[in-house]
Amino acid sequence: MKHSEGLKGTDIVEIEKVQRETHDTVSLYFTHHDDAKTGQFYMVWIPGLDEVPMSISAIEEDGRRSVTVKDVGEATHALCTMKAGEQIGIRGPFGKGYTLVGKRVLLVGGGSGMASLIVAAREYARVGKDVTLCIGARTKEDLLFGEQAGIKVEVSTDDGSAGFHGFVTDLAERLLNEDDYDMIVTCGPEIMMKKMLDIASAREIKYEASLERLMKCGIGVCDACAIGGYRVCKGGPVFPDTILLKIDEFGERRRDAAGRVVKL
Amino acid sequence: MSDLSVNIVGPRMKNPLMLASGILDETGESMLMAVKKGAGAVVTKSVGLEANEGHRNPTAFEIGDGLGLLNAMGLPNPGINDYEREVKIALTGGVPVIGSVFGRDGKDFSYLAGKMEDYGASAVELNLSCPHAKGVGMDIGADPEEVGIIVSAVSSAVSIPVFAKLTPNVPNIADIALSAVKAGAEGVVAINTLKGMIISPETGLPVLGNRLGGLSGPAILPVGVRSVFEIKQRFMKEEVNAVIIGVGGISSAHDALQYIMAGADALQIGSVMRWKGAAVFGEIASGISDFMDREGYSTIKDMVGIAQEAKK
Ligand SMILES: Cc1cc2nc3c(=O)[nH]c(=O)nc-3n(C[C@H](O)[C@H](O)[C@H](O)COP(=O)(O)OP(=O)(O)OC[C@H]3O[C@@H](n4cnc5c(N)ncnc54)[C@H](O)[C@@H]3O)c2cc1C
Ligand SMILES: Cc1cc2nc3c(=O)[nH]c(=O)nc-3n(C[C@H](O)[C@H](O)[C@H](O)COP(=O)(O)O)c2cc1C
Repeated sequence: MKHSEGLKGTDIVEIEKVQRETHDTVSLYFTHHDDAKTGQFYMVWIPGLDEVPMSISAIEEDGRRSVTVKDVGEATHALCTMKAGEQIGIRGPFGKGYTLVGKRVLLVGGGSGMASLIVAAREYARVGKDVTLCIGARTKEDLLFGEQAGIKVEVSTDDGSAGFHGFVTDLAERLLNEDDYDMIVTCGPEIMMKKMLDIASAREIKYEASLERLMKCGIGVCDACAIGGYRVCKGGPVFPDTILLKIDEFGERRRDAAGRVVKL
Repeated sequence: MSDLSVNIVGPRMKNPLMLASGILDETGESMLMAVKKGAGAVVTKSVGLEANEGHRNPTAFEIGDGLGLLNAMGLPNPGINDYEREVKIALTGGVPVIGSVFGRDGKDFSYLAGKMEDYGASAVELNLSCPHAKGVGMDIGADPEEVGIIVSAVSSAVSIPVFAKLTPNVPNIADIALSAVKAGAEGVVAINTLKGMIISPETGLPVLGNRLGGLSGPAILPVGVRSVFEIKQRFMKEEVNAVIIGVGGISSAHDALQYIMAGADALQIGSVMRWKGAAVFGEIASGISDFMDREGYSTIKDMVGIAQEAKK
């Protein structure tokens, strides 16, 4: 924002629409005129409570945006119970998004990671690439974005209540055995993303992943989201295989809010 | 050829540019990144006795398209015991590591400084200036007498150089600087952030989780340059020979030279990395070097404080 428009900390927007996605996940729609790219995120302020990083789950040319929030704690619960007409603050878009390279692309997602991955899937499909989206969930009820126009979707559940019975990484390996892919893109639990990195490098397929770390400033100064000398907020959240293969804490360790090293 | 090296923290620094405390230095790996990009020394995040999660988000944001940052991180840190790992990693970069510490009194500070010395720090920086944490920082660093007591305790507890980092949120920064140096500090670091607040009119609420924060970045450069000028002036008047490290709003060689000419022997770089990344170290170092070659200065010392002698 320009100085002449006044100095602000965050852009206040009104929630225009609330859409329930699953029993614990909600999409909030609002308008924010910016140059958001696939895979970037906002810092979303719940006035007076907290501010949390959220992937941008829809990017329309007219400035319509959404974030898709899974209720896991105090801040996300507040967001999930908001109604149209209420206000939130938006900072961003921040971070480096997906490269969108590759012609035959396998996207592998799970949990709230789908909020970020779905935009990449739609964008690959829009430009005519061959996209297969693998979605992992605990049960049928947890499945996020299970049906998408123009995209082949494969589903796995831990309990077998829908699709493949087992881990999404096993489903992905099965697909990789059946067909040729030249790009793997993943966002979800880090253990899953690490497994996919191993699979991709064994098969020599290009790979990128969108990471999560505890985030504070969102703009690359405070070091809270540090991983191997990079900041997830600025160097990422999307990182290529070439960098992730060199970071030994990926899939192993993270930092808590005080900066202590903890096991994932 | 101009010589950028300076000798102020024990081991010689290849250039006068240090990574400032609290920006990209909570983890050892991030400090290494700054070293790789050309920092002559790194200052650690300010570390206290216990692990501290800091304030609630929002903890930092940009204002006015590159004008500055407002932050109230609340001194998050893993605590001195867990911090050994980070210092050891930073030391592998081969440049001096300065341990920044914060506490409530001389006893806390001495203990923390001793730990930093044990871990291999070349010097310690006492955070007497954070504007948004209760009972520490500028709560104790705004009083020249209290600063003197703390510095004197630390100076007798460690054998590495001690630097006092000062707050600009006072009418008498030069008094505090003088008190620190007379109590045994090798020098002072000026300035920490300026107290500030941003309110969102739509909600009627201050935006920072802590409501009050500290302003940094380009907007504060004139305040920092003025502070260093006043401190140098006082040191010259009292014939005190002490180091001044200038920090606050430096984004370019042009900015850095202003601090040097006001009286700074070395500089710290923080917020600008929001916009230019750690590559700014290399950019500023070569900019200073070009300026010196062009203007015929051979060492940094040749430029230190020259604005003091200018006619009014
Ligand atoms: C770049 C990025 C994009 C994200 N995108 C989405 C998204 O699109 N949808 C979504 O539902 N979630 C997303 N998250 C995760 C989301 O930010 C956290 O779930 C949220 O901050 C938790 O806040 P809370 O107060 O509700 O929970 P808390 O009670 O604070 O914590 C609940 C859980 O969330 C984790 N967590 C807490 N704070 C953060 C934080 N600042 N960053 C990451 N994890 C945290 C905790 O470790 C804990 O496991 C994203 C995170 C990052 C870093
Ligand atoms: C996010 C952030 C965190 C900071 N944390 C500390 C800290 O822990 N200790 C400290 O002495 N100064 C801290 N500072 C102050 C800086 O070291 C520096 O004095 C100030 O930001 C002015 O320099 P700059 O404009 O180059 O950033 C912090 C500043 C910022 C922006």
